[in-house]
Amino acid sequence: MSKINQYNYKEQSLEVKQRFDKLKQREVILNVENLCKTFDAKKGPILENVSFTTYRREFTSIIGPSGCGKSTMVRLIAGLEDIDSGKIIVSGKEINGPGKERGMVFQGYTLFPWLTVVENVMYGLRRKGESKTQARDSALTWVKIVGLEKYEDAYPSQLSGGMQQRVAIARSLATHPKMLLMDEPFGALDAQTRATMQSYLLQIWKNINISVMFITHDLDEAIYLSDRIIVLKAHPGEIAEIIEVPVSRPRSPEQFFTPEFLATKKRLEELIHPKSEEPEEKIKIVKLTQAGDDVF
Amino acid sequence: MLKKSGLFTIRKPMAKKQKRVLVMLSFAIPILLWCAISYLTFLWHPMIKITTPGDVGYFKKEMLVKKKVFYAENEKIKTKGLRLATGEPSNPVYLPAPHKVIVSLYKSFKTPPRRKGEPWFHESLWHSITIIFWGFILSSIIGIPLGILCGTFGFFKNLIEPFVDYFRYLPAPVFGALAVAILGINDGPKIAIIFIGTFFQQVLVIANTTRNLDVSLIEAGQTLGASKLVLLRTVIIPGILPNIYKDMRILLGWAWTYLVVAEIVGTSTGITWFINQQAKYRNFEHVFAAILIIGIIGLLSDQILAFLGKKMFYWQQNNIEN
Repeated sequence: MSKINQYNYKEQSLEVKQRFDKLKQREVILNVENLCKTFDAKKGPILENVSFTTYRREFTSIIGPSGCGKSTMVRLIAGLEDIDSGKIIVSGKEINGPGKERGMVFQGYTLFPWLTVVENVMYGLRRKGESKTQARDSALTWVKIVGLEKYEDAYPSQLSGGMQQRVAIARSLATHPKMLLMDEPFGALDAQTRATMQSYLLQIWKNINISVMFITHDLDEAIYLSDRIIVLKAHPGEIAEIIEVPVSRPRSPEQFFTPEFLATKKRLEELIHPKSEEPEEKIKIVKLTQAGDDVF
Repeated sequence: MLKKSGLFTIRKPMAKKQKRVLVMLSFAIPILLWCAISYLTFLWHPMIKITTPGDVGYFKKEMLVKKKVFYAENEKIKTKGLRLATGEPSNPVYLPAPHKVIVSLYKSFKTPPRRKGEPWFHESLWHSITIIFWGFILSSIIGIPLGILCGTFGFFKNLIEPFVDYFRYLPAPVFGALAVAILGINDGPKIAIIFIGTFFQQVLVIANTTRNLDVSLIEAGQTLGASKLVLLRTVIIPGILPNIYKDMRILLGWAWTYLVVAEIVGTSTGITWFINQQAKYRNFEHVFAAILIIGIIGLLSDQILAFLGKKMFYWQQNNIEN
């Protein structure tokens, strides 16, 4: 334990430092300026004055306590909600509604159940005006990339949750967006499938030119996947800190126990569950009755 | 310990064998009950149906009298040495025995109409079916697109639904006289009654079904670059189609319930005319046969539609066997 306490999450090895220096020289893909959003005036703003930038091929996570507006943030970037004030600029263009340069993978299963796997992946390509055969050809390539070529003609209801999310990822990537927005995409999956999906995602991301914005409430997941983690706090949703993850790439599950990983996790925990000044509410322990004792 | 699912487990599918037995019983029990009260005379035959009135002054053929009265009158006649009345035990609801209904079901197709120019039974039946068909189709042609628009755009929801919501409380039959005045005495007003009875419910039901489509499917379509109209065509309509199909099956059942009202508007026609006519002649077997056949047509058409639905929407979860 002492080793973790000594390790500062801001310390970066030479390799990591060089990687971040290179990253910040790349072009800016996403520029969020003074973003504000209020749904219900009585409850106060859900996001207030949020500003940050992300770079080409960067993997960014947004993390924060529930109600901090992380989902709202990604929905604003996707153009699915209207902005109250501030700006979102993607590749130099201010956004105005959804656009095909921003792909999105949702938490729930959003494959079109009446289309087969390959038809689902074709959907965005057809909207771009590609012919059926053309769209089918490139869709099949994507189905292969996510390793589901055996299931190309299956319907979503025949696939497991993990497979469905892989198709959803392929569907969003097929149109070659600049950014992939992911709103807790693995939230509904069991722990094992989730771990597989994380490595899958890293592999795909490594091989293509795309920036990822990943929403999660799982600290390990955020550290394991990201270059930088944007930590939000709740009421109102503001940026608490942007953390540069000091873990080297390529990532592997063994790194979960390295001092830099654990130090980052510790910092995230401090940010998300700050020690409040009010004493925690104590849970009253009710003594079991005589009859209950028989059970033990 | 594992327990085999019993007969009364809440919301669990039943074993196939149990299910089949229950489905059969569902029809067998009413039929057996019908047989019992028809053939077991000691169960429920408190009346005598007069077959020949004899010399009792007020007895008429087919009349139902209490057993006590029947025997008392015959006793009186006997002492006077006049002709006795004859009759057979009967139930008080004019319920004919099953075999009589089945025979008359066959006969009603074979019996020519009483007067020249009147329709045969099958012609009456066919006329009823065409009335339902046109009323329902016309309603659907307008009602489905309107319902989908109401379920998709707040504009149409707020503009159309409040009035439709009001209008659906007006019972369709009250428009009978008006419909005749406008559309004449032929099939026009009948189709209008079915239309009015179906249309307003249809708009609301379809709008609601449309609203129930998972909004994240629409959002997924938007992020993939679909514009509004494309979204309607490629996501909303295919997404709600199986549920709309189910709605239509239920609505078609409702349309049948308006048939009887529709058919007495203007000149009486179709199956309703046939039933009223046969009731007038006191051919209750024919009446029951006609009622029975409406049920059979309804059940059969619904089963056929259900089967077609399964074929059409094979991509749905419960239709694909893994």
